[in-house]
Amino acid sequence: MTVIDWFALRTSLKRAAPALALYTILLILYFAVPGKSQLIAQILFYAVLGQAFNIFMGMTGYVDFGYVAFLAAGAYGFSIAILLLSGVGGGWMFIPLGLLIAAIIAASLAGLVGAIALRLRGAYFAIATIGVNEGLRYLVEGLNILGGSIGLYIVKDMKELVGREGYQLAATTLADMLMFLLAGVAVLTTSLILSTRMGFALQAIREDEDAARALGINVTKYKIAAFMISGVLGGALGALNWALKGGVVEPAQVFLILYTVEAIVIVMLGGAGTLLGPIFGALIYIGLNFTSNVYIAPVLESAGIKATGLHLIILAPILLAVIIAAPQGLVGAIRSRAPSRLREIVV
Amino acid sequence: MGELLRVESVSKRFGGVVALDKVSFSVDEGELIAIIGPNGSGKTTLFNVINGILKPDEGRVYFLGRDITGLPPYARVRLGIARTFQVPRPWPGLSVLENIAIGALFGSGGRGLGVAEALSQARNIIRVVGLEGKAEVLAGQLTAPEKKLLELARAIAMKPRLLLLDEIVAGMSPKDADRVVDTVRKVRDEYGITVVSMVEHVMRVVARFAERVIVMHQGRILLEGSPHEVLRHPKVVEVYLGVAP
Repeated sequence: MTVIDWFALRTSLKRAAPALALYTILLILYFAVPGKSQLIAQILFYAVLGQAFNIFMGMTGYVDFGYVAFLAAGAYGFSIAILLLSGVGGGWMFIPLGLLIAAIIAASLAGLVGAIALRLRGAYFAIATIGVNEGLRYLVEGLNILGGSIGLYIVKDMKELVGREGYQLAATTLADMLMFLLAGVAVLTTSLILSTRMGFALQAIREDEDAARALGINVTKYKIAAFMISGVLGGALGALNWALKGGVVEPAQVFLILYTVEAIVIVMLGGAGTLLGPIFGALIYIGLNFTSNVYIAPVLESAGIKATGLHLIILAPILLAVIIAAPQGLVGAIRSRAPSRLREIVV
Repeated sequence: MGELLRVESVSKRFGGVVALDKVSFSVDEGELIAIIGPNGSGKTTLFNVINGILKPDEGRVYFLGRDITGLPPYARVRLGIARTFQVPRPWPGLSVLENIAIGALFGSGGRGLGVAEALSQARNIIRVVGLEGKAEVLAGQLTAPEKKLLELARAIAMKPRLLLLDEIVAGMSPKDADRVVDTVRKVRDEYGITVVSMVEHVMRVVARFAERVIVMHQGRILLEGSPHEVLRHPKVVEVYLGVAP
């Protein structure tokens, strides 16, 4: 597009506002509620995971079971930047450079996988993407590259770059603030896509891909573009969460398929293709997790019952009920029942 | 009026089945053509070859004198070929307005078109096809004739020079069928869009709708002519009803 579409920009800001407001509330709670900042950070991680995953799954209807591979790509990319700078210096440059390399690697992976796997539909696409994730993991472990199965430990290198105190800040508050920033970027990206021709194209693909193709939409181009955007955001999330915040990038952790499943659950609970869906999905998921681990499990354990993973037993029927009663998720259900004026707001 | 579309000895096989066997015909600008023929005569395959969903095994397709045989569907749409589906396929989870706006955004006039402009064009077209008051309704909730009109609206929004209609009136009541046929004629007259429609059985509609009729049978063009000549032709009667004993 040669000219800026001001109408689309205005619409996208209007659409992004409620989600941005919710993240602002989370940000205030992060500082205001003593001792709960890490619970908020956990909600934030899952909300951003859902938000990034949603750009592709929510808008196109394709389920990428290997999505966590992008998080891994980002985590390794960030670590590579640190290892490159280590001994050379560069101080705080490691964060922008790390995020840049994370984004480049995630985008390349998405472009490569997308160009091949996006020719497949439905379950075939899902299976192919699981293969990508597991394949990459065994590549790293089997060839013993990038630390092999042990992984990369980069705490020492980060301390060398910005000092002990600098690192303390980077791995805690700064990492969380960058995560909030990423949440904002993810929301604005989603709303911008939704409000421009790309969003119309992607929704048409989700609703009926053959019709979209026959009616002039270059479906492959838009699918790959959405896949890459979603992958880059996932890459940045992986970089912030494991490399910067955790200081360790282990294959067993960063390629863990559970994260993909959690992303699906969060998006399904909240509402695929909506802006607020992933936030509500994450709130419910972590809220349930927290309640069962902190309040219910100890009671059961004192009675002699071991209750590891209790939240999953509680979550499963809830998820089933949502899928049956409100297949569009909570936000989706509210939206489809709302009058059209309200529908504009609840997206 | 110049030649708009030319199909030159196009053949298409599916395994051992010959769906199209050296089919040739041409369409002039501004025509209203009906392609008729019983089920399995190759009409849908012909449409899919023209709009690029299928590649022919042999033969070429020309649009405005340009060889488009190798172009993907979206490129043909940009040149000005739009289609509707036999079973209407609007995007069910999107509103009527959004469905039509997508047509405007990705049709032949869609390059550089802003979203606001596409939406306002869509509002105009909603009036042309008579779907006033349905703009915000989700397409999946429309009645069958309304879906047909939406498909037509979406196709008009694409600003085509050639509109391919797959079974415009199949399964409709006579009243709904007339409404759709009248809208199609209006579209041709107002927008100057050439229309090629296929019709399987509703001969009353063919007579009312078309200026020229092409009859297909077993992958070939059996004959063509005015509705009056064709519909009474013994060969056509034979194709539909079989030979008298």
